[in-house]
Amino acid sequence: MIFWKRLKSDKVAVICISVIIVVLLLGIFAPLVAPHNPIEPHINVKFANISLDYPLGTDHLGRCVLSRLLYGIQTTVVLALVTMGATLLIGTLLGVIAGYFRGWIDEVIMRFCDVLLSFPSEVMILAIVGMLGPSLTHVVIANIAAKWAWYTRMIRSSVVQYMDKNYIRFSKVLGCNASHIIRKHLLPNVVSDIIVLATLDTGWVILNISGLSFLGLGVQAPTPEWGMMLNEAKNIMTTHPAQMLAPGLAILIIVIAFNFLGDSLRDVLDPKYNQHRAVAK
Amino acid sequence: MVDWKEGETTRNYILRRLLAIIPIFMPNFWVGLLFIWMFSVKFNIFPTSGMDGVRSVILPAITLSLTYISTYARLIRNNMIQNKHENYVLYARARGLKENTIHRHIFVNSLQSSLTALGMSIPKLIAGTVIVENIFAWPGIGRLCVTAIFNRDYPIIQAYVLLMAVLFVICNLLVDIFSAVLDPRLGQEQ
Repeated sequence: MIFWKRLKSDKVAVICISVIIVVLLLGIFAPLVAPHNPIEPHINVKFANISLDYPLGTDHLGRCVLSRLLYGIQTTVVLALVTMGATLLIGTLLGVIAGYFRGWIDEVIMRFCDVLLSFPSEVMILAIVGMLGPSLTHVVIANIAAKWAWYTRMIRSSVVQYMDKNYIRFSKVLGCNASHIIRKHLLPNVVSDIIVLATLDTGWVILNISGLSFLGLGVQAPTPEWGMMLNEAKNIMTTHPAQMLAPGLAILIIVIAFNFLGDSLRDVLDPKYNQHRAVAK
Repeated sequence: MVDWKEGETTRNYILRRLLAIIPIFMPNFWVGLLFIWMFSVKFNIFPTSGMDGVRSVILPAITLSLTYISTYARLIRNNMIQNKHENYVLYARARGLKENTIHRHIFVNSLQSSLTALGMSIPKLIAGTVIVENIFAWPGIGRLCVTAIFNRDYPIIQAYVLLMAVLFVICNLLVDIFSAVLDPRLGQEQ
């Protein structure tokens, strides 16, 4: 378990992991932690100041900002993880198939990926959401559709690289079947390459989901979501500017945590890169 | 040249990394709102929204470019560190050129990969304009597209996507031509 040891010695990584875990736990147990109902409006207490009852105040409909932030984790962060999971699943499946079996199936999958990759992903997401209509599920679908081709290609090139290794050839000579080689020899190697990219990309997906929600293309009205909360704060900016601090900071912190964690994982998993950085420093 | 730093302590390194990285991950819709509040509502220097005159260009432009400024600063810095150990630098030093001249040579040679990255950023910038146009209420095509999505106006969405794809191709072509001009080695490859 040298991996965990090295990860633990990296202070930045430990802080990032704890931040992410705490945020996820808060999101999962939001119904228990949150002091108020995030959707029910109480007009008589709108724009309440920070108090014990409302730790972060209330918004323009008298809803507790802290509760909305906590429930927002469920939509923003959990959905981003779901998106990444689905992307990785599709990418690994097709990438391993293409890289392991090669031949015509490799050609078909890769040329299809080339077609998708030749188009800028940001515009593609907008196009898919535009065609399907504004909704949270459509945003997730669009994000998966825009990303899977890239992952398939990365995983395929990683698989091809490992296929030349002697231990894989040896297993083939021994007569191991394809599923055994893929499960026992290929996947553990490929996963460590891909996990870095996936961690770095999770932050990007969070920004994307909340950005689209900010435009009103993602989450629809009463559901709490960070980008959505910023959009509501925009309309009352002149009178209550403090409203836009909490959701913005929440997005910033979680995105930075994922990105620093990705950087640290790369340092831990790739000793070569580490040496290079030591030289550069 | 600001990013030209080597041999610093770890604490400084982490601090600088934080400073360099925060602008990248500030969601640009949030930055835009903060800018409007600070410079338009509080200090009343720039107009909050709309498109009239040069003054209303400044805030959206800064909002859009903030992410890229620090990305490119990092990219150029890494390239300069790599280029520093090339033979031509050694030769220039041996000829006794001034330190400033040598830095200029290194800088020009480091721009190469930024130019390629610029071609990749154009689609991101274009997608970024959608959000920035919405914050600053500019009557641009990004906002047109979002309105079209709400109105289920398919022809406009299709036209927008087509236009973006064409722009993307043109930008990449221009970047390729420019990088061949900047570095003649690329043009001669056959």
